[in-house]
Amino acid sequence: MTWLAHVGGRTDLPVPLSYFIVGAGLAVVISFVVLSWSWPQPRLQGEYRRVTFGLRGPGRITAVLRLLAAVGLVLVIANGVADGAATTRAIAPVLVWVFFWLVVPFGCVIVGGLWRTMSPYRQIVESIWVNAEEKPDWLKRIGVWPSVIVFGAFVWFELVYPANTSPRSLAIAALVYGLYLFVISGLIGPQTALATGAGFETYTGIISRMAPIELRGAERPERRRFLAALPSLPIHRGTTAFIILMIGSVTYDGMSGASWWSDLVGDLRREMWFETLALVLTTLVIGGLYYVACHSARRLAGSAGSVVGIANSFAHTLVPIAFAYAFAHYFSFIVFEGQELVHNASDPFGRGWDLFGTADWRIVFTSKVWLVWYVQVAVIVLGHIGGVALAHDRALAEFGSEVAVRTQYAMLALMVALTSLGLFILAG
Amino acid sequence: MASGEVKGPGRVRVPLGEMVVLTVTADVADEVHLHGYDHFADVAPGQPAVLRFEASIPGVFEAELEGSRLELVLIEVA
Repeated sequence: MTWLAHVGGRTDLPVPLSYFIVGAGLAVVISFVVLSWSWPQPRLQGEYRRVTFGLRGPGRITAVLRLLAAVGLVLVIANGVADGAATTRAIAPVLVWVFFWLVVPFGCVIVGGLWRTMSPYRQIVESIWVNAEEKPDWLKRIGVWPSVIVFGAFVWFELVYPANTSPRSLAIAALVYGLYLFVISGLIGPQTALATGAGFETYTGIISRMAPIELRGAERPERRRFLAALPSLPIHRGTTAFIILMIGSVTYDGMSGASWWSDLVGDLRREMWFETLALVLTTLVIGGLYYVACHSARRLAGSAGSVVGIANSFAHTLVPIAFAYAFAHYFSFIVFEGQELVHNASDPFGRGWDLFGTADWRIVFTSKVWLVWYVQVAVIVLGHIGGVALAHDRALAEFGSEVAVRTQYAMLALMVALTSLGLFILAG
Repeated sequence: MASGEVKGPGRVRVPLGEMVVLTVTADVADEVHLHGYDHFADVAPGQPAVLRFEASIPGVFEAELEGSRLELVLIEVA
């Protein structure tokens, strides 16, 4: 967790062994409860019930969100231009690494479409390329692989690149991302470009599928049951890889901060090539485990479908687990480092200003460390329940109720393994 | 710290509420920053930096040589 040290500098204490055992034990028990009490017919597939609801002026909320995001982007770029001696006191690292990278995506689990609604990038390419021809064939051909690459690059920037809190690098990243979207929007049309290559829209779009509310721009927002939209997550080429990368990156981040990891690899953990390799390998191992589980499920069901087909069919069931991993990992960071915004808002350039009289704000830490552990274990176990339930339901639809329970052994084993791994890493 | 190499325990456990004294010697002039607690102390060749603080916040904290971005020690307060 190289960047954490530079934005804030506090990381969580390892979760005690007892919490780990209780959490992992719960995961196993819950899995067997789902197996024995499971419903015989799929319930979560196909169209889900949704209603729009009245919200006075959805346009006004949209406008406020867009304004906030635009101000944030302008500040990040202005910080980069003004990059001087006081870089560690600038607002950009907090805006990017706490709000843009964590708070907004996590907010999407409650209010779906949050980033899509507020994204300044979307506003810009949509308004400039109004007449550009849409070439939706590209989405079929390359799927969301460009998004996977963008997301992977940003993960690398976060976890490996040493100058990841320098306002200049952050401003460059923000501008390069904008320029890239601008160019591909001109080539294949803004809507196609955003669907295939906007890494952050893909990321927040996947998380938004869990949400009970969906913002829809000028239209009235939609309400639905929690997780109801997840089974109809559109699976393009690369979507499954994207979800695996979400899990792999958080796994690597947690692992690289653990004391057993530094004992194991020693000074290698400060080498960029080694960190990059470890990040890639961790993601590949998670992906490998998933494909092994899909392969076993296929054999247990005697299914004629391909392993890749089954992997795509069950990819959405990993989303609650991926979200739980990330949330458990970053929750205390958001709570504590998020407070830096109070201080930074008054002095966004680290020049000793005091615009709102809050420049002296210091982070309030809690000494109730068990509270963090409870939240971490609870979220991981809840993510596990979500994943198991979604996988059971998809198995019923995919393989039929006679063999569904049998195929579940493979997926359950995988999910218990992932949940235990998540807890183990928190206990590192 | 000497010639860019850090010598020290790597990671130290401290009970919550204890008084901690962290002494850093270095062969360059720089600033020691204890993150999270946000304590700073200057260090120079022949002039060790001494940080005294009460371990009042639980968590894992990095002490860093600010200018050269070198991690000196991780302090685990529990």
